[in-house]
Amino acid sequence: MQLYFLMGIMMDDINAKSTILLVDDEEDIRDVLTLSLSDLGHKVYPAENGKEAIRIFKEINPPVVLTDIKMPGIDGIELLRSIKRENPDTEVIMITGHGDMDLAIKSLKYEASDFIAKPINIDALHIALKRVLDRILMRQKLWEYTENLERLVSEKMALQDRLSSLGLMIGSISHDVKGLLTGLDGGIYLLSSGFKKNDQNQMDEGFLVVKTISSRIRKMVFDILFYAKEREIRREPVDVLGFADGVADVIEAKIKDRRIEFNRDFDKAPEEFEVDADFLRSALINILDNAVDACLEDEQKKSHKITFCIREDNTYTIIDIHDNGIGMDSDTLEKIFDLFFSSKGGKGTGFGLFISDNIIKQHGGTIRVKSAMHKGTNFIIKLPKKRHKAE
Amino acid sequence: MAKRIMIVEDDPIVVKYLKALFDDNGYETVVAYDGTEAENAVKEAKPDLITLDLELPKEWGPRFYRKMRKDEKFKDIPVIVISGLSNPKHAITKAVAVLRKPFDEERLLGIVKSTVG
Repeated sequence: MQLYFLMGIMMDDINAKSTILLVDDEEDIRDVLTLSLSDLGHKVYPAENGKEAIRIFKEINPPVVLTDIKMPGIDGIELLRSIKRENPDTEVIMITGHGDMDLAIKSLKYEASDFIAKPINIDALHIALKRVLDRILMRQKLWEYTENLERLVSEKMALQDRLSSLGLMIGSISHDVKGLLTGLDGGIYLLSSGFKKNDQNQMDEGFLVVKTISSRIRKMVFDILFYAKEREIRREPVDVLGFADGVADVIEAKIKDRRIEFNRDFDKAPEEFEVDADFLRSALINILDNAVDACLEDEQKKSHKITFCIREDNTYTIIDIHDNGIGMDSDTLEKIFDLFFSSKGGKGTGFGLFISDNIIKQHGGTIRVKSAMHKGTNFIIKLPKKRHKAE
Repeated sequence: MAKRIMIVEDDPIVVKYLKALFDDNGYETVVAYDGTEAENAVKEAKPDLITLDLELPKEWGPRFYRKMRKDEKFKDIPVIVISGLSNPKHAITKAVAVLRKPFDEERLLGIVKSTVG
């Protein structure tokens, strides 16, 4: 709607005021035409020969040129050709003398827009001008349509990309979803059967299953939401110690009853950092979850240890997560940040580290990973203390 | 005597679910968490019916099934496939039924009843 409105104004504008280069060697004709074209509201630049015309053309690049054909020196045809070379979109109207029909036709071959005969009838000139101005407008509209169309096409492509990766995602998670739903059915069955039999143990068991499954579903849904809609990060000053303890508590609750030692090392942490706490929390929990899984999977070592360290240097807040679990080979290491890549078989969705990596990047930070098979893995996250100016 | 059902399934939650469902309906249950365990359990427990998941650690369900069918003593034990795969029908052609997860518990019980009573 707005576009058409704007174009309406432009149309009036062009009709009212076009810039016209007028070339004729006869002073009288120049004067008369300059007067009458100015009366019609056009801005007229008169030139008395081809050479001057080319100079003015290069300077002001007028959309319309009105030129005599027969001139000493550079004639109208030659002028027409050099103008078309300079800017092929220029509308050139030729003024022909009596009996110049051959030249007039030749000029059409060289893409002149129109020609009018001397003695010049002002109405005829007006009509010829209106026709070329309409053409200019049409070209402009066409250009805008093309531009819009290109934008639409690229928007559509982006949408398609998104849809196809969403499709891929749905394919990859649907199996997990089925498992979770079956588990949820199971929890509900245990609960209701426990109720019927008044079996407290079974009720507890059912409730625990429902709780576990719903937290897994919750995590999966959040992962999907995060992926489907990338919200802007909102950074604000966050108390580092409180934040880090919160993250550590989540992980320690998970490794309760497992033989994994969990170390918090926040002595050299800054007091505050500017982050999106919700985002960074899920990024770190994903990485720490992996550390836990890596320890559980490793059957060679007797004791396992995860260290969660936050420290700082002059420019960065550094988060260092180390585990002595199963480790990764270089093939796995290369792919860990890829969407849908998972080394955990049915247990992983392939979202976790992809999301972590995105979140750290959104904070202007970097993740570096070192890992060795059967030795362990080390994630080093660097978050710049000062925001980049470009953000 | 109560009929005995062997549950072959790796997800502990689904195992709990099936076990409670069968216990509540008067069946005895045996559990195997992977294909290799299932091979041994079938010999020891001589079940009247087997519920079989297809994706299992160590040895997949179909392979266990093929081995079992080579043994005269066990080849006629009815099998109900319960799987999360989207097209599990063709994996085990002689199955008495193929259920997809999440499954309907009434339907499963119905099939069990009509197969072993």
